Formats: sequence, structure tokens, C-alpha cells
Amino acid sequence: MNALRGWVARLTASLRALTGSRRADDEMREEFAAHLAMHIDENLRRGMSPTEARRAALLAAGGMTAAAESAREQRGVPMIDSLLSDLRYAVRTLRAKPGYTAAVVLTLALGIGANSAMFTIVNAVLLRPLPYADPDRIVSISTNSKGEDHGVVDDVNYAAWRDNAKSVVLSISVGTDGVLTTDAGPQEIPGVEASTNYFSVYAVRPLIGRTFTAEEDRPGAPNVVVLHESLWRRQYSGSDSILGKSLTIDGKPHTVIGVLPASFTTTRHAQYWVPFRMAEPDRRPMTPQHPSISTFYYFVYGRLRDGATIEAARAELATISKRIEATREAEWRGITPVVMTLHERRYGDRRKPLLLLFSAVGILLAIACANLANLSLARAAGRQREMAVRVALGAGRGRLARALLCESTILALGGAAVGLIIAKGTVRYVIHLSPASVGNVENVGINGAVLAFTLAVAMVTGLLFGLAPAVTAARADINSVLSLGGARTTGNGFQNAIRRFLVVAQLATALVLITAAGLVTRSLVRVASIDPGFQAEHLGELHLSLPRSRYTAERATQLFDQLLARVRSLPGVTGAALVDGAPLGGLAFTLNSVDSAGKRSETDVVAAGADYFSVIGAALVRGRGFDSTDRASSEPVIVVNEVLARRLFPGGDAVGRTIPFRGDKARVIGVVKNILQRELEKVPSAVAYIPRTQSDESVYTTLMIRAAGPSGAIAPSVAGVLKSLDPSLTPVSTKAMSDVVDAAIAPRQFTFILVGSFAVIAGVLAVLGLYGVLANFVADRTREIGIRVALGADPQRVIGLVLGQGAVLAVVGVLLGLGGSVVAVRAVRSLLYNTSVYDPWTFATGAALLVFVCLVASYLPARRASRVDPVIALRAE
Amino acid sequence: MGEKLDVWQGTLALMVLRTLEVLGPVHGYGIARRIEETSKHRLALNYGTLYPALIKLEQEGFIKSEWRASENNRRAKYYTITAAGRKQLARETRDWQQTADLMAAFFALRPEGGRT
Repeated sequence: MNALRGWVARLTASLRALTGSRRADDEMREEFAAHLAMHIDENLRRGMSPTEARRAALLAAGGMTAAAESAREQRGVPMIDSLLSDLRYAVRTLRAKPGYTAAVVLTLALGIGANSAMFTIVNAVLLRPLPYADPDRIVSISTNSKGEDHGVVDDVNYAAWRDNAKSVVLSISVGTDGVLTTDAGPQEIPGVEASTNYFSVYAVRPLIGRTFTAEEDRPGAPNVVVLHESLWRRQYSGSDSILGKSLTIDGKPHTVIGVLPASFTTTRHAQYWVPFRMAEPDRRPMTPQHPSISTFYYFVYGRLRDGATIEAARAELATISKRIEATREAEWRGITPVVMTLHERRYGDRRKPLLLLFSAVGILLAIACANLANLSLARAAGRQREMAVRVALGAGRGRLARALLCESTILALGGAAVGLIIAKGTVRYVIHLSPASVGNVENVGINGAVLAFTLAVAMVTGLLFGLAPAVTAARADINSVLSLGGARTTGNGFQNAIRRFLVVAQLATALVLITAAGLVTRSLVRVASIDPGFQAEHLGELHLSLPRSRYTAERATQLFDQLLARVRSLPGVTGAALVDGAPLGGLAFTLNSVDSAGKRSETDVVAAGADYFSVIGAALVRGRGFDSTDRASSEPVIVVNEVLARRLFPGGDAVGRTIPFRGDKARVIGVVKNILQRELEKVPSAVAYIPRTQSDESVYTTLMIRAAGPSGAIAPSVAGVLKSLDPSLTPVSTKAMSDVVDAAIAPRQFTFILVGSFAVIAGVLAVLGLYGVLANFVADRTREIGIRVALGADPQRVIGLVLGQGAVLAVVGVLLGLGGSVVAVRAVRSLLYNTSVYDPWTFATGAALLVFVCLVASYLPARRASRVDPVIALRAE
Repeated sequence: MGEKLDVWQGTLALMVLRTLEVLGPVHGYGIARRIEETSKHRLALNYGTLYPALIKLEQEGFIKSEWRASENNRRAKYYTITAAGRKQLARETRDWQQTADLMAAFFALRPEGGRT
């Protein structure tokens, strides 16, 4: 109570003092004068001579300037007033040492810039909420079996959940590209097929008109469409008369019923929404003779109802699934729902790598701070005399410490300013490295939050690296410094201890980063050497998707065949083949089957054209690939990959045998080496290749082209062929398969480049720190070394003395770092591929490398020490 | 001159308050002299010790000050104890007394039997 009162009184007095500071100073001076005069008067009365009276009074007064200063401090003025003078002084000091200032600002710019860059990304991807109302209530729902999240929901579960769940409203949505026919001709625009609940899940209200009614997704309901505001304004000049108009989308008339506001955006920038029509599930009983049923899978999103939690929704959906399980086939047993927030679904897999990178840059900044603290400690040792003089002239030790903190803060702010420029460049580079690893790319940018973060980091940084010199300066003993009279002093023992501690800490943390980088590098090397099963070089792929409005599946097949024939005859093309399910791109479809023992298995199916395997450079282990003799009317044939061959005929030869396939029998004509279909890093799945001629016709396919040179060179002529067959087809580009492979490795390269450069910078900073301490050690002991040399010490022993110092610091740092790594590397486990987190090779290499570099860095000052000329060294003092 | 004692800030505030309570309005010089005399010159107050303490007490509202003419017609700043100051003084005096009694009890301890 009393303390509070006093505090408030002091605060108000301080504020008053700010405005009336000059008057208060005058008053203080007058009061001192009166005090002195009264003292002199009395001394005179006691019979002293005027000179003596004055001298005695002055002596009793003590330092008048120092008294005025401490009175001012008590009034609370210095907070602002002396801060300004401290700042001025700091700027002047720094300007006098441009080399030091530049080195510090640059180091800080690197450290702070890296942090700001990572924060920019973390902020945009992980912290910023999705642009929907109550985004935390929007969930993404899928199913899981045997620990694998399918990402989708089968039709039976979806229907059961939709009709029975009380805790969550469910909707289906799937992206689509539609052809909108306007007066200006057809144009392809992105859209969404959505079930009728979609709009309540995202809690979006139409700008004008309405959204779907519950009946509008039933088969046979009239075609309706909801437009996005941007399409409405661009194409229909934002007129209300659009409502009720009929638009032609994919060749079918659709009635416009509403317009969604521009503030509602989707990841694919959908311009229109049409009702999603669920197909009736095929409920044929499944037997070994009929090993497949057609099941439809959906992307499902939902909104939690008021009061419901994600856990409650998960439990409720699980109960519903369990209830219907009994009525379903064996393969559908054991399926559990996965419920996560939409944010988690979109960015969840980026959380861990990004947070890891974020902590790595944090460590980097800490090392930079330690380095700068070391640097400014060395500088403080040289400035002891200046500090001692300032103390002697009446500067309080607190004031001195604050002056030093001012300096470090100014440096940190300078570093932050340069760091922001670095951050901007870094963010652009990082996105360029691998957009997929960043995600939400278009929202990544320097904004207010980033600026605030940078400023906060700068302030903390300034405090951190300014603290050590400030504390040690305040402890300096002015008498010993001043009486040494200008000679170079060794800095006090406390400072030296701190410097050694900092170097050891730096080396240890740097080694943790180096170990992590080593593990990441090893993973990258392993991934880069994965055999994808095809020859990517000079191989191009061209995805073809014909508008269903003008092409039936039969007409599409005709066009594809013509295209194939013309492309094969192009100069520079050595081979071409069609495929539904290009390598690293997907599949035609997946078959679920159950064998007679009830064991469930999945087979990916790819429909490939004649010559496919030779065109992509896949190796046939046995038998033959497809050729023109495999027609729709000929015997059903199949090529299996090694995984499937081993599963179907363990230990036996597959070629020539027949297997049940989609209700028929197919003869195995070849076994092909595993070609990676889905992802580079996934274990190869069982794949069955069937001839395209014996598969369902569709308007989609992929043309694989083997070129004599880089596949990009033949892209224009391929586009020309396509144009000559149908001028209305949008120009397409061929993608080089080598780029596809590179894109699959890109996320790893991304982590490798970032973690690797952080580790290198951290290592360099730590070794520089060690070098600085040793160089200082030698400079401090020039005299001692001179005496040793004069007394006949062997240069080898002098080198040994310095090297020994370095080796002790390096070894202690590395041992601590190894210990730290053992704990810390567990965090990078998810980033590794086929690499143990405790990979002994990586640990040993990192540690050995760091010790080696440390010894090299120690050797330089050691050699300088061994060349000390005793005559010069002794005369210098 | 014998060895001078250092003045603790806390005790100095108490001394100033007590001096003002006894003397009534008095200027800085008077306070310094009075404290030095009371301490039989074992304490010496320079400006740097005294004036920050006075400023602090005034900020806390325990004393107030005004400019007046002194005995021999000099302008000087006179300090007076306030009601809050008297209360504070009473509180501090009590605390001191308690501490002193406590310490005295400890100093009065004598070695107990067993070893002599």
C-alpha cells in the first residue's frame, strides 16, 4: 500500500521532472549555493580565514557535479535526458570504429534477417487463420485404416455420417475446371462441385440471390450455378439481372441462383459452384470371382455444431461407422474416422519442418549473439581505461552499463534494418526453392506482424549481446586500470571466463546444427539415388484433358490415336506412348481385393499404350510389354510389377499364368521392374499394367514422349500437332520428367539448403569466436611469451601452449555438442529418409570436422605467438 | 578526524524525518549540521548523500519544501515534515525498536554449559 503510494508519487514526480527539468536543475544549484554559503558563514564565525572557510566547506560538500547528477537521477530525469546523451555518445563511438560497426551490423543482419524470413513464412502458413468465419470450427474428415490416413471418405460411411451425425455438418466438395461458353467464345474457369451443405460449412452468405437448396444435389434436379463476385463483375458487369439467367457450362445450361462475395476465396480461386451429385454406390456383393466393387471416395469437410468438440465429433463418427460395419464386407472392417481442423489438413505437414527451421534460425541468432558478446567483450577490455576515466569523472556504474547497452541496441536496430532487406530476399529465394514446402505462398510477405517481430528480436538481441560487456564494465576496478597507465591490460578474469564460456556454448550449439544438417544431407543423398524405375532424361509428359462438352470417350480415343501417330513421326522424337497413370503422377484406379483366405490387398492399376515400357525406359524383368497386337478384342493381358509378381506368385514365375481380373481372367505377359507411381519416397506398391485398349475409354490421358535431346525442345512441335488436330484445344506444355523427379526431391533440397547454410554459418561464427579468444589470449600474453622465448623456450612449446588452449575449448564444446545432438536430433526424425537419427557416421564426421577447423583456427594465433620477438615484446611495455 | 561511518539510505531517511519532527522547518544545511552533531561527528553528509534523500522523501510525500529567507537573509529551501511523514516516522521507529530489541536479545546470549 505504502510502496504503491511511493511508487505513484515517484512516477508523477518523474513526469513533472521531465517538463521542468531545467528549472529543477537551477533550483538545485541555488540550494547547493545556499548550503555552501551558510557553511562558509559558520566557518568564518568560528574564526577561519576566508580561504580556509571556503576550502573546508567545499571539502565537506563532496563532488558537487556528482551530487547534482545523483539528485537528477533521483528526480527521474535521466531516463530520457541522459538516455539521449547516451545515444549521441554511442553513435559517435560507433562512427569512430566503422570496421567494428560494419562487422557487427552485418552479423546481426544475417541472424535477424534469417529469423525475420522464417517468421514471415511461419506467420503466413501457421499463425494466420484461414479466411473463413470461425475457421477453427471447420474440419476436414477422412478415414484411416491400419494407421494410414486415406485423405478421403468412402460413399457408404459418408452417407451414414451425413444422415446421423449430430456434432458436425458434413459437405463434399471437389475442384473442377469447367468450360464457360460466352459471347466471346469458350473459356476454361476453375470451379467447385459442392454438396448443398457446403455454404453452411464455410458459413458464407451470398451477396445476392441464394445458395443451393437441399434438393438441388439429387439426381435429376435442375442445373443451377452460384458465381463468384469477381466472375460476376468481370463477365456480367455486376448486374443483379444475372439472377435467373442461363449460362452454358460444359455445354449444359445452368441457371444462376446467386453470387458469393469476393471476400470468400478458395485455394484454387474457384469462380463458380455447381451442385455435387453423389453417384449411387454399387452394392454388388464381392466374392473372389468378383474381386472389385466400385466405391466412390469423396473429399469431406464439415463444420462442428455449437458446443461440439473435434474429439466429440470423432467419437460420434466412429460409433456410426462401427454400427454399419456389421452390414459391410470384410475389407471395410477396422476403418476409423480422422477429424482435424481444415488448417491442420492444409498446413499440418508443414508445421514440423517449419518449426524446426524456425528453431534452427533461433539457435543461429543465439550463436551470433554470443559471438558479438565476445567481440564486444574484447573491445571492452581495450576500453577499460575509457570506462575508468568516465567512472572517475562521476559516471555511475549503472549509467556506464546503460551506455554500453545503448551501443548494442543501436547496433541491433541497424542489424534489423539490414536484416529486413535480407529477409525479403531470403523469403523470395525460399519460395522459389520449393513452393510446396512453404504453402500458402501468396500470403507470404513482410507485414506489420513481421516488423513487430523483427523489432522485438532486435531489442532482445541488443540486450543479450550488450549485457556481458555492460555487466563486466560495471565490475571493473578503476584504480588498477588507471594506475597501469595506458599499458594494454589483459581484461579482467571475469571477462575472460565469460568469453571462454561463450565460445564453448557456441561450439556446442553449432555442432547440434551441424549434426542435424549432416543427417538431412544423408537423407537427401539417399533420396536422390532412389531408382524411380524409368529413365527421366529426355523424357517428356503431356497431360491431355479434352472438354467433355465436345468429346465423347470414343472421339477422344480417336484423337489420342491420331496425335500419337503424328507425334511419333516428328523429327527429334524417338518414341511416344499413351498412359493413364504416368510415373510419379498417379494411377488409373486402385483395386481392392480379398483372397480366398480373407486377406485384403490393394492393387494400383495403370492403363498403358503400346511401347509404353520401352518409351519410358523401364526394364522388363521377364516376358514382353504391350504392343499393337493387344486390342480390345484380343485376350486380356496384364503386366505386373515385381511387388505384385511376388505377392501373386511367391517364388514362382508369373509369366504365362492367368489371374482373375475385374471379373475376367487376364494372362500375365511380363514382369516389369518397379516404377514409382505415387511418390518417390514411398515403398513401391503392387501395380498391374493393362493395355489402354482393354481399359475404359476416357477424355483424359497422358502422352509420354522420348526425345533425342532435351524434351523441352520438341514441345512447340507437339503443341503444333495438337493445334492442327483441333484448333480450339488450349495450348499445352510438355513437362520434362527430369523436372518431375526434381520437384519430388525439392522439399528435401529445401530443408537441405536451409539447414545446411544455417549450420555452416553457425560453424563459421563459432570458430571465429574461438579464433577471437585465442588471438586475444596471445595479444594479452605477448610479454609473457617474450620472456619465455628470451629464456630459451622452444617455438614448438609456444605453439603447443596456444594450440592446447584452443583444443581444450574445442573438445569441451564438441563433447557438450554431441550430448546436445543426441537429445536434439530426435526432433528431425520426421525429416529423415532411411537414416537413423543416431547415425554414427554423421555424428563422428560433424564432430571431427568441427575439431579440425577449430585446430586450424587455433594454429594461426599459435604461429603468431611462436614468432614473438622477445626484444620487441619486452620493449613494448 | 576519526573513521567516518557510511550512511545507509534507509537510516538516513529516518534521521531526516526525526530531525524535522524535532526542529520544525529547517533548510538542508541545518539538517546536515544537526545530523552530524547528533552523531557526534561520526557521520559526515555530503551533498550527494543528503539531497537525493531529501528529493526522495519529498516525492514520497513525507516532507514538503518551500523557499524562504534564512536567519541571515539568505534565500534557502526549508523542509517540513508532513502528516504522512509523521506516520511513517512512527512506523519506522517502531520497526527499529523491534529490530534493536531482537538483536539485543541475541547479543545477551551467553555460552551455555558443556564446554567452557
